[in-house]
Amino acid sequence: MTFSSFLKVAFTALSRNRLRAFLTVLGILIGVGAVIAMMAIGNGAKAKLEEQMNSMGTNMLFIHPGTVTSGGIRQWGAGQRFYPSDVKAIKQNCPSVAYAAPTIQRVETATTGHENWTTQIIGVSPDYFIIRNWNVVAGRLITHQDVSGGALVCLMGQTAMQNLFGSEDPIGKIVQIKDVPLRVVGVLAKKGETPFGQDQDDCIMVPYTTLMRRIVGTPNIGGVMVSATSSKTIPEAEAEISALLRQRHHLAPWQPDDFMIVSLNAFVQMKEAATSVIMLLLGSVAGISLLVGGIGIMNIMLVSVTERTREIGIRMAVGATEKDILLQFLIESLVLSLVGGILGMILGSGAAIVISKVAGWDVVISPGSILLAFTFSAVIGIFFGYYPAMKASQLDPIEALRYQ
Amino acid sequence: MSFIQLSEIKKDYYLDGVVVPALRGIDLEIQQGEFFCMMGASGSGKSTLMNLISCMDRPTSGKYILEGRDVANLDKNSLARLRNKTVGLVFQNFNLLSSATALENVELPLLYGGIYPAERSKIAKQFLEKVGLGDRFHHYPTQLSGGQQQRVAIARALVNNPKILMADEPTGNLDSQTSEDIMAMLTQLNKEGLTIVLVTHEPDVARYAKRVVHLKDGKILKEERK
Ligand SMILES: Nc1ncnc2c1ncn2[C@@H]1O[C@H](COP(=O)(O)OP(=O)(O)OP(=O)(O)O)[C@@H](O)[C@H]1O
Ligand SMILES: [Mg+2]
Repeated sequence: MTFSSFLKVAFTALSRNRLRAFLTVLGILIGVGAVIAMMAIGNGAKAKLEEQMNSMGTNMLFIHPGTVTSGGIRQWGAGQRFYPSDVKAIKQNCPSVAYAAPTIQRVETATTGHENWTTQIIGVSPDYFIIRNWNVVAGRLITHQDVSGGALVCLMGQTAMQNLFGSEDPIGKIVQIKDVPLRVVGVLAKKGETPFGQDQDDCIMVPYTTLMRRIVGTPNIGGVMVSATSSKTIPEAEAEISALLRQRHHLAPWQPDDFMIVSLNAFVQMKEAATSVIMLLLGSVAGISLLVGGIGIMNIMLVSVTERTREIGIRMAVGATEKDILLQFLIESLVLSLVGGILGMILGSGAAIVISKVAGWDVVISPGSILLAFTFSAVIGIFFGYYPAMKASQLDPIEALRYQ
Repeated sequence: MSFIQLSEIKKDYYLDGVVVPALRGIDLEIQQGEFFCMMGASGSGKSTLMNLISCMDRPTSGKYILEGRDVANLDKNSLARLRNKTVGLVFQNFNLLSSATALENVELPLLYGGIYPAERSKIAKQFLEKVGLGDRFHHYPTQLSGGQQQRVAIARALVNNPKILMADEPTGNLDSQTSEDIMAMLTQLNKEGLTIVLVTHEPDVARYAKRVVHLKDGKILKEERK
């Protein structure tokens, strides 16, 4: 008997009882749908996280003033302050550090002649652009001369530019921040959101010296931003910076650090953990539905074998072998589970697309997940269909013919 | 050598641990081209013997030679092969697949004989025409009369060109006129050279046969030849 003949027999048998067949495949449908949706969401989240991490910069470390315990009270950020000289020292003395830039920023209102917009004012040095892998789309970056001279220049982030200048070309125009007039020399490329949902384009960048002296009026900086020479040297860089700062801050061996070094990789791990919780949840739903679906198929196939005992007897009487009967029922349950699987793929992909629209999550439907779902349903069909098919093939032809 | 040769055939059934002897030593030979009939009271073992000869079942003991092969020791696959190619079966209650058309029913043995679809329907149509149902290909069994259903069953039994046609009370569910038509058809087939083995308890039907054997309590009582 050819495979196509088996398929035809299976489809004929199933189409005789369409509603029952549909109800039987519901479990598989939901299970496969959940697998597809799970993988689409998981892959999407991963892709988005990677993109966001790359937008933040690679191999980054942040150094902040640490907590200090005085009189039993722990105070955040009350540790030793940082100065521009710390940045220079780190860059010169730590071999695993490729670039270092001061971090200092304030929220201030910037005004043009007729618009004003409250935004992040970020103090930068040329290293900042390398660490954050950020460039201008128009004009120029902030240079060493701008920094050493405390030049009154600034760069516009895309969001800030939209709000201050609309569609006008801002280059050469003046913005006022706290009565300090700054000339726009460049427009920054679009960056998008951080993994924490912050709009990175809502900013104006000025030389950090200008921000310290002219706008804020402070001798110190917020902290230091560093990029390690590679992702593998992040721990070394951390150790080197720690040793250097302890020395510069004159800390005795028993004293705790008065600074904090935070690696971006820690955030990545946290975010990945959150994603994998969702994946695990959907995965359990998928697993349970597939199991229940498989049992449903087995149940209905057993019923079907009993109902069709006479049919089996007739087929045997005209020459069907045990193998013919076994394959007939096995293919029938395979068809059931694959139909469920295909409907599940459609449903799962649909759900993933709806989720991406409604929740704004990124989803990626990969050919791999389609293949996986297909394999899953085929394996379930064969696994749970085998016992009923075996039972059918073992019937005695005379008794089967006599069955009422 | 005879086409069919049974010697010392015994068949026991086991019912709740009690042995029910259905056949108690049958010796029988059937030649090719015979029109052979078995008669006997209900429970005398006619159907049991039919099932053994048609390779649906195996004897408890004894020797059964079909075309020179010892069938008693064949495995299930070989028995299925024989039912497909060598023996054609016709039943009292027709045993057609109710969900399949006349044509599909007749195609069934070809399906298990490994014939390809196009060829299958061509051959099946020829045989349906041969039994006078050329205009009923796509009717379902419930849309056919009893006599027509039995003709479909006969077409199905013949479609693989078997060496022997076995019919267990083929007219048991039919009126006398239809019975005569069916028997006339079997007689014609026998004239064309087909070996026919028939079970009946109607003398009217038995008279078509050339040799009649009477069974009683699982044994051959007597034999008549015409
Ligand atoms: N599956 C079975 N289990 C137990 N006993 C059986 C079975 N099949 C048949 N028998 C017994 O074997 C004997 C012969 O039965 P068989 O069906 O061959 O009779 P028969 O001659 O065909 O009768 P009928 O004319 O009524 O069809 C009977 O006594 C019957 O009860
Ligand atoms: Mg009988």
